[in-house]
Amino acid sequence: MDPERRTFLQQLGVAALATSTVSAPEPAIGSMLSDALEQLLQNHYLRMTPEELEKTLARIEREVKKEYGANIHCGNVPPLPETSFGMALNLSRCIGARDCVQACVKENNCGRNDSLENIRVLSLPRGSWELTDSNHYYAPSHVPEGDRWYLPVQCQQCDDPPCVQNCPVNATWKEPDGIVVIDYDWCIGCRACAVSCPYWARHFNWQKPAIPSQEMTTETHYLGNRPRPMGVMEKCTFCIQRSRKGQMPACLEACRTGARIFGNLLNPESEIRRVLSTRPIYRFKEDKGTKPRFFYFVDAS
Amino acid sequence: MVFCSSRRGGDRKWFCFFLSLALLAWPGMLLSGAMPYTVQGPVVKTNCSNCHAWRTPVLKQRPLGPPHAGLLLRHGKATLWCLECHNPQHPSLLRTLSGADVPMTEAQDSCAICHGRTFFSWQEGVHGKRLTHWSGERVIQSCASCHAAHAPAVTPLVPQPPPRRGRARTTP
Repeated sequence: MDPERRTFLQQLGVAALATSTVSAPEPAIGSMLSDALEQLLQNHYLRMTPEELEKTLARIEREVKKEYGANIHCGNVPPLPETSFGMALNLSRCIGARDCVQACVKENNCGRNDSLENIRVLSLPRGSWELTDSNHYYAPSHVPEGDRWYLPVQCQQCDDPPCVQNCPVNATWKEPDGIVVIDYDWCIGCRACAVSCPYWARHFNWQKPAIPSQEMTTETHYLGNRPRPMGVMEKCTFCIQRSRKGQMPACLEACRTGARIFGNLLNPESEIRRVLSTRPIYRFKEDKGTKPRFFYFVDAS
Repeated sequence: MVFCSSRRGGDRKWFCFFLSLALLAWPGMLLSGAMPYTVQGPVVKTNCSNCHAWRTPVLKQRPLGPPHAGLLLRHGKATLWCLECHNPQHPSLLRTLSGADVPMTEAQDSCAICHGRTFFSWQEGVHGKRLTHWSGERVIQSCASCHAAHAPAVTPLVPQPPPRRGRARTTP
């Protein structure tokens, strides 16, 4: 029995005692009881009926209000039709300023108490592709350093994702728009996906994420940036709460050099298709056969 | 002309007409791949006509003193002078090398004279940055959003802190 469940059961007992003794029970206690039952009996995201889903989203909003004191809106925007997301990154433009990393942590409500950055910027010696020489703890006074180049790595949203194959409970899957997502309430925290990912793109919540309530991003998505419980995996979702509304992911907005390009791979007019058809493209660890839809390219113009 | 060596004069005339039409349309065909866009961002930081509306500019190339002391011209490795880009008669206008006027809102056309490859790359969305939305209207940043026109080199930045090493802490 994990400590959270134990404390919860203790609270349950106290609550039952309180309801039996106090003549007029407070409505909060009733909702807490039903919330707990709902959480226990909650179905997989893909199997929930629309009514169940609506109740679940409302319950998540209540829980976040209780635990973090922030009023969030937990949405459930379905995939857009005729859309398949992809990202390209210009390696000649990236200067390793880590603006994307900080913007990602803030947008996606990552715990500030753990190293849960979904983007990892590797710094490599100029002219070298040797990943064993890379360093993601670099902290010079100014970037770019003359003798280094930078390789930001995050979830590559693979078309053949080993993390999805290795999940024993189907808590993670690939959405029709190409984003690999996790049902945080279905995840059992076994971390098999983290072991199978060649990009080190999945992160485990070893403890309850600490998020200051004033820094909480209030526009959230069930599969995206809602605050995660302790003991589940999390990953980059191309900012599903933003990209499915037509907005740019947070890393793109934050990048000061414009190195990242995001768009719909099915639209032949999009910038990303332009890049893929005219620039030299590199897929990271292509030999693993994961078919990433994250493309690195070189363009010094 | 080699192309027009047809026996019938009428055919030759039409052939030359369509050939010239195709040649005229060629640059347009090259650019047709770029999506339409709207430019957003700072275009001009100092308004020259604040003073030069009533003060005739001295056109001679010289080291700039006051009131231009703050205006460092670090563009083109000291080969350029104000009038390469600015129109001396209308200080709020830019000009091309052939003398055509370019309004400040279209300043990218002036940049494109020298930085043609970068300009085309910017037009098709590879150089530069698209703002807020990946779908719908394409709003892209102007050149001056990142490159100050008089000192366009991008300065080095202070990076954000690195990820924490070792075990997680219990408090942020």
